[in-house]
Amino acid sequence: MSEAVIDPLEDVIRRAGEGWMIDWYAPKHDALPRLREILRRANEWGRARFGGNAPQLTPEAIVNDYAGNPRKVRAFLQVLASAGTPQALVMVWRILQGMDIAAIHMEYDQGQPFRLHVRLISPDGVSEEYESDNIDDAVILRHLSTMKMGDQGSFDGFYPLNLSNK
Amino acid sequence: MISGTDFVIPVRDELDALDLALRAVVRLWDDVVLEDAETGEVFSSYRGINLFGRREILAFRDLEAARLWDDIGPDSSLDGTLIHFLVSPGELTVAVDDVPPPQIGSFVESLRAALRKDLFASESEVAA
Repeated sequence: MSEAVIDPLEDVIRRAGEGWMIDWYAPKHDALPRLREILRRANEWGRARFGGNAPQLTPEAIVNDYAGNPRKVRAFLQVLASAGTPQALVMVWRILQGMDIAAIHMEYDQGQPFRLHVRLISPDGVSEEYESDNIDDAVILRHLSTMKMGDQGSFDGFYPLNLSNK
Repeated sequence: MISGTDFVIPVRDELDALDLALRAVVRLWDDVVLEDAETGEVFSSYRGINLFGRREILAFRDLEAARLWDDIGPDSSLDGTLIHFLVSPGELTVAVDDVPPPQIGSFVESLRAALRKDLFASESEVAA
């Protein structure tokens, strides 16, 4: 009897403890095509914005990155299906790559358009700006650590939530 | 630093905790030099480190401090120039001077407070 061949992206998602992302879909077989499409859009947005410096967000790159840095990929996967825009996913990946969060501006008034603006900065001083009017992108804020040093507060890093009972 | 003081912080994921600690120490010291205590690899930036598989990171205040620690080792003249981070399953240990200067004491307290939040806290901490 031959063993079923599991899709490499599904394998990574399940090994990361985030199989709920697939099981939650109805019908379940739509999950992976949908997740691949989300990655394709994020990858395209990054390439259009950053050209050769864009992060690689293809399924193959995610699978490869998982082998070398599983915690980073796990955190990313947790917002793959829930973030509202491709640019939010690129921004999350940039934070995971080590960029600092220099500024966050969020505007929310009931009945009015939502706005989220984030500025990231790299250790060598290069900044990147991200804008969104999709409130689903606010999901990323739950993954940012907060820390106070003296009288200054900061948002640091992007971390996985404890969503699964492993 | 004669013997040093260890602050053991229970966490859900020790590498996420170490990640936060290193992001924070870069803000504490602008010219920090990071070194893998096991492999000897030196990093001038947090961004260059893949933490997967690492267990001990030394954070020197600057290049000069790193050089002096190499030359003379533990000595009171180097107090306040090194923070040692160690990970083990479910724990981040922050080793500092036995009487840490206020700047480092404050840093450790800030880090402990950040790691007590739900993104990092161990199950036992949350339940307590």
